[in-house]
Amino acid sequence: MRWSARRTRSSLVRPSSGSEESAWRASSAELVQSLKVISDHPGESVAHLDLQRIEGLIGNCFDEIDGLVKALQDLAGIVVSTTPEPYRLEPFVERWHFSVTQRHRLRRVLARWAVLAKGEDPLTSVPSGCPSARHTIEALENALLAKPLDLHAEVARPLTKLS
Amino acid sequence: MIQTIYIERQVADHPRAREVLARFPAAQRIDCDRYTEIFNPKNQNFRLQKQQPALIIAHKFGKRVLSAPEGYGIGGQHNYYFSHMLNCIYDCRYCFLQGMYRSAHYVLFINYDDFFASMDRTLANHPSEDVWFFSGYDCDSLALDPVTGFATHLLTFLESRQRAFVELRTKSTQIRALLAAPAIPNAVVAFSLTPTETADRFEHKAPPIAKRLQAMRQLADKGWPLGLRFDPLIFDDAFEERYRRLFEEVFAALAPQSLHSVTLGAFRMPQRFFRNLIRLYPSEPLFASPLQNRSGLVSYSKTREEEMIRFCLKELTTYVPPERLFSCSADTRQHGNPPVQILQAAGVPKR
Repeated sequence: MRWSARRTRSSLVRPSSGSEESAWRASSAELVQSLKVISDHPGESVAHLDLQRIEGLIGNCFDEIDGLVKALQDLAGIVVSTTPEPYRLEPFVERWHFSVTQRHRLRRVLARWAVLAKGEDPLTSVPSGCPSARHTIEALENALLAKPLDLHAEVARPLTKLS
Repeated sequence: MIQTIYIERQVADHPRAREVLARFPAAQRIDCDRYTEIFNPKNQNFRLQKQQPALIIAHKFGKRVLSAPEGYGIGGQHNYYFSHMLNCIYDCRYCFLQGMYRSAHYVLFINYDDFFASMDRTLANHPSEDVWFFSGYDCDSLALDPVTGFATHLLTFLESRQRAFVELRTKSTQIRALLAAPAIPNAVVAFSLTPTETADRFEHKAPPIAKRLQAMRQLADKGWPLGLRFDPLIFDDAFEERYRRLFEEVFAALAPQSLHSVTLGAFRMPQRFFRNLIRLYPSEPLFASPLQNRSGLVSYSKTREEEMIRFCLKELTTYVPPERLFSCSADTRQHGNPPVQILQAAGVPKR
């Protein structure tokens, strides 16, 4: 973190150029927030600011910073908590040769498997003598098709709505 | 409800904008130049914004009335759609809006008169012919009507334009404006309906089916033409049982004579939107259920879709005459009367 003093008012401004954009690339805009703890304003000089004073100013805002972080963590939890653990591709790609397109298809059917047949090993639905990647994918898709489909069963609720 | 209101500077002093702002005195107000600054940026999370959407008050430039897809309609030759609002206060899990838009904020275009002028120009392009305008593509037509007041203005416009027919597609029970006005034959209030369990499971924040039927009955009693929109049809193992019960419930509440039209359409969505939905809701079983990409639309297999439509038509023709039934297919992207072969397969006698 770099700090630079501007001779405008009584506070330091932390330059955030580039850091927010970088954060947005790694997350969504709602989870990237800037909180200006110390901001320059025209009435006062920054000349009287020193490290001790800055520590004090920031220290006075710990509750606000803590509150913001908690709110953002709650928001992030809404997204993270409902992402199912994906099945790994390795057990399949080690046995059969998948083209790039077939890997995408495999990824997709395994993602569906994680939702519709959670806890069941997808490999058990593939015949041991399955000749190719194509047949493997078809076996998985057909196995899913044969499963009972009840879309009205209770779905795991995300974290409670923010107040 | 609304905690933040963005407002384009150019409409800040518009009387309608002031009325809306007055309804939310505690809301934080943020000025902007164009709504697109807030609505369009990439990397927004629709799902997170749905926790607390803001309202954006804006002016709609450019084309306000657009041609409906080829073949789309409920009996009319000339079909268009318009959107005085973007996004919906409900949170239906199957809704394509969350796949289409980057932001969940509600956008309200308050230059209603410009929309009506566009509708007049469209009417002038089809002299002496009826023209249909569909509302409710990008939003629910009535859900925010207590805030927008749009319905009242629209009905006033329609009273003197007998050739202009409007469908107000909704799940809402906000029908006060309609109950307060005399019913007109060129405004069809069309309710989207799913089985009660399906509505409970997927249509978050929307009124229960029983409440929607109650609202429909009130409108029917006042003479408003009604539409039933069984769209999207959502399949699972109990599909037939659920929809049979739904139809029984609907026609126990409504007299078929009050119906202008009934439409059916299986769940379908452009591939690009569907991918966004999976990103937003990776655990949703509906999106993991057997769906196919058919001509760029994600939907059920052709066989499954035909079975669903066939079943529904067979059930519905016991209540309403076939000429009031319309279905939409992912293949043809048409929304017209069901093909003869499907009606025959459904046991409907040929006329």
